Amino acid sequence: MKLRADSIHKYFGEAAVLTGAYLTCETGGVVGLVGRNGCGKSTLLRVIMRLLPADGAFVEVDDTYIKSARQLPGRLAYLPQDGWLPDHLRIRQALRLYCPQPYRSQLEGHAWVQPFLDRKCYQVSAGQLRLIECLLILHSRAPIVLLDEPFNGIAPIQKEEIIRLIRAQAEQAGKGIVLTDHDYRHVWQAATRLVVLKDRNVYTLQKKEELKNFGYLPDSAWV
Amino acid sequence: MTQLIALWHFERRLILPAALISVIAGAISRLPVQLAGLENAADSTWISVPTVARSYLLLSLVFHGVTYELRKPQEYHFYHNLGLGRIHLWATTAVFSLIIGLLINLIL
Repeated sequence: MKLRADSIHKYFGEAAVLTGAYLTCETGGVVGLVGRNGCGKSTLLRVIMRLLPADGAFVEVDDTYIKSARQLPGRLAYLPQDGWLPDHLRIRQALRLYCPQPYRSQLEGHAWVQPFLDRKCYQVSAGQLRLIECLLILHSRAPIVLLDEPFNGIAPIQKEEIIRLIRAQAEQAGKGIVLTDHDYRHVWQAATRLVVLKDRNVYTLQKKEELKNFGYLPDSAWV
Repeated sequence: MTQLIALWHFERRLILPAALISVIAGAISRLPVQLAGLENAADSTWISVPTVARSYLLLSLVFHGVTYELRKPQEYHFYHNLGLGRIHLWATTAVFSLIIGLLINLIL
């Protein structure tokens, strides 16, 4: 499967955030999306997910045009930045809604999930909940997954585990993953292709050093 | 089936508070009649059923707005991934509250 987002235009009033941005992601690959604060990374993901109305956007997964939420199940899933699991839901109920078998059984026995299965989401700490959210999305039905700052509030050792999981889901389960985070080293570790959002457009990078040319890293940075 | 279960989880958060306050509104609306001793034998209930139904219809929409638009807008993402957009969820709340309002009128 292939996600193709083309001619993405988004203005906030007079301010142009995206002008003709283009992004693709195929199953089996991890696309790392980096860029400065406020450059429009989250906006791009939200437009692709049809969470935000765009001034122009063509989004398709294989031959299916994504027009609204209705086309998303079984195609695209999105991990937003902030806590999005309903407070009143138990973790087990969220798993049932999101994860097909055998993933559901695997996750029910997972060390990060198992102790909290029968707790409601508001009874789980923010960091633990973030880990569960990542697992939930990565094991959802959707073959293409968009992750917006998945490493937020996660301990370093668990970040490594999330990276391993992202790679495994891409390579073994054949998912396509778009990943954006300010922790560019972790994005670089997880990604099979790196793109940068600069001046309202998306550019593919060949080498890490190019991050300096795009003004994302200072010249003194060690890459 | 997944979407129906998700809709139930979305709506069940609104049902209890809306129903509780509607019942209170229905009881309060009968208070002046009861206090003045104006009730007749044919209409001696302690609660006004039409008021409960109308209040429920209105309050479930208000609770939807307060809970999901003001307090927890990020929770929309959970349902969006399952194919349930914001407009879909508003429409569901409206239809659901209309059905419950009619049922209250019919059953009580």
